[in-house]
This record gives sequence, structure tokens and C-alpha cells, in this order.
Amino acid sequence: MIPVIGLVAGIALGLLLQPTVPSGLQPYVPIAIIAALDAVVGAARALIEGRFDDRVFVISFVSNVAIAAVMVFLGDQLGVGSQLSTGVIVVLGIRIFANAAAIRRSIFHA
Amino acid sequence: MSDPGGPSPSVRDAESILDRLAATALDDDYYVQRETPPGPSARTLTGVVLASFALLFTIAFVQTRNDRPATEAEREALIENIGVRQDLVASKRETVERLQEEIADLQAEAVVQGPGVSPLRVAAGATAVRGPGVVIEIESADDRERPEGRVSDTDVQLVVNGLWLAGAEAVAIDGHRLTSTSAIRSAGEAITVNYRSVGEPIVIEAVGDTNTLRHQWEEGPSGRYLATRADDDGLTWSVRGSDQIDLPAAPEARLRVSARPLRRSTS
Repeated sequence: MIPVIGLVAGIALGLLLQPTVPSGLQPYVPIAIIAALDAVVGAARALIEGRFDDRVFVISFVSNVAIAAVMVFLGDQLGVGSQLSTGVIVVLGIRIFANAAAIRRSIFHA
Repeated sequence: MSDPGGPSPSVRDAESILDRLAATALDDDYYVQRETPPGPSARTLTGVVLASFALLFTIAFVQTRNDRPATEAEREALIENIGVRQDLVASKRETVERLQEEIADLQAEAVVQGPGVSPLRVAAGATAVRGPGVVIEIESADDRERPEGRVSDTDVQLVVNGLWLAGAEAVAIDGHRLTSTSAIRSAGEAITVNYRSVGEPIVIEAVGDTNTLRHQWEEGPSGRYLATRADDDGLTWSVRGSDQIDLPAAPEARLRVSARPLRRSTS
């Protein structure tokens, strides 16, 4: 119940306030979204497989987003921002697809 | 996640980093069995994290939606700008044309009309000319491999000079009016008149008294030269009289030399 409330509250907050991302943080948004998506899809898989753990989810979410942000920051400072972002997206994308495939398998048994 | 039938773990490590990534897609911590069930604070944290996730998503979504009209508006503004500039160029071009017409009118007005002016203007190629005259067509020999069989710039020059000698008032080659400053040259294999290349057959039109012009030219050195060229090298040419020939004005009537009118001293 609480997760659903959280989701709805977040969407409502975003729609109501319509905050704008400061231009300094703009480059971090796409990577942060990918990282967060990875954590959420992982959590969904764990939920379906019956091994969901709140602590693991919270920690993996926060650490994923933080590491992604740090990598983009480092890449920007070193002049390899776009390359590093591509690497992060590839790795997280593979993870997302693998987890989504596992979810699909456990739902459709195929 | 272990694969009992597969190769040993060390070989799997070397196999592919992407395979390993896909195999361990779920965080290992989920596989750790915990005795204590999560407390309410952990549930709340999950809710908070999900809320921030939804917030992040919504912000990105809303911002992308809001930015799109801006980029589209920018594009439309650019297109409109281009249209405005194109109209501007068109109107400037019209102005140029109008001014050029005005210049032409003024030049026509400025010319002092007198008894000797009209022939001078014809001789200078400043006006279009219409009248009787002769038309000469020259073509290279069929065997174009021989350099002598081709019409050269010298041939054309000699024909034109012969026409002037025979009393032509105005001459044009393929519609390019000749003046005292016209150039007949060969550029590569082509012949250029007034720096425009002309193709074969080369049509030379001259305005003047048809019979005199034709007779004088054929009897003169120029006609005899062309006849010799035809006999020796196989050029084909023809001359015929015409009752009406229209020759355009020379393309440029540029002022080359000017001087202030001399004033008589009043002292």
C-alpha cells in the first residue's frame, strides 16, 4: 500500500509543482532516471520472485542514482562525459532487460 | 544463478563481461535470507524512494513536454525569418531591375540625337539592328580528327574581317553582336565569341546591302580564303542573302575612356 501511495504522491507532486531542473543538474537527469529504473525493475523482479527486501531496494536505488551521478560528474570533469554516460546506459540497460526478461518468464512461464 | 553444466567460473569470467552482467542482473543482496521481517520504517523508506522515483520521472516528462513547444517555436521563427529575408531579397532585386531600367532610359536620353549619332550607335553595337544582309554558315569537316579540318578562331576572324571590309554595318556570330572590342578566340576545342562558346555550325550574320555584301565578300580575300579551306581541308560553308536579319545589341556597353568636355577659354 505504502509503495503505491508513494508512487501516486510523487507523480502528483511533480504534476502540481512542475519544478524545473536547474541547468547545472540537467545532464544528471537521464542517467539518474536510467539508474532509478534499473533499481525499480530489479525490485519488481525480486517482488515477483518473493524475495523483495525494502532495505535492499532503498540502498540499491540510492546507491545506483548516486553512482550514476558521480560517474557523469567525473566524466564531465575529465571531458569524457558522453562516453561514460553511454557506458552507464549500456550496463544498466542490459540489467534492465535481463530483469524484465526474468519478470516475463515468471509471469508467462515462457 | 550458477550454471552447473557450464565451464568453470574462471573461464566464465574471461568469457564475456556482458554475459556476466546479464546473469547477475538482480542485486545479490536480494538473495540473502533475513530472519527479521522489515519494520514499518523500512516500508516508509520504500514509499519515499518510490515517491522520489515518480517525482524524477514526472519532472523529466513535464520538462520535456514543456521544452518541445519552445524548440518548435524557435524553428517556426527561423522559417518565418527565412521567408522575410527572401521577400526582402526579391524586393531588392525588383529595385535593382527598376533602377537598371531607369539607367537605361537616362542613358538613352543622354545620348545627343544628331545626324551622325545613329550610325555611330550601330557601329558601336549599342542598339539592336534589323535589316537585309547575308548569312554565312561554316561547319567543320566530317573528319574531325585532323586539326586542319576543324573551324578555327582564325577562320572566323577572317570571315568577320572580310564582312567588315565588304561594308557590313553590323555583324553577329550565333547571336553575339560584334563590336570593335569583341574577341573571337578558341578555348580548347571550342570557339568563344565575347567569351561565350559557340557551337557548330557557326552562323555569322551581317547586316548591309545584300548583293554588294555578298559579292564583295565572296570576291574578297576572305571569301577566297574560305573557299580554299573548303577545297583543301573539307570545311563546309554556305552564304545566302536574307531580307531581314535581326541582330541584338552588344551585351556590354561599358565606358572605357572618358574625358571632360573641352571648354574654350573665355579670356
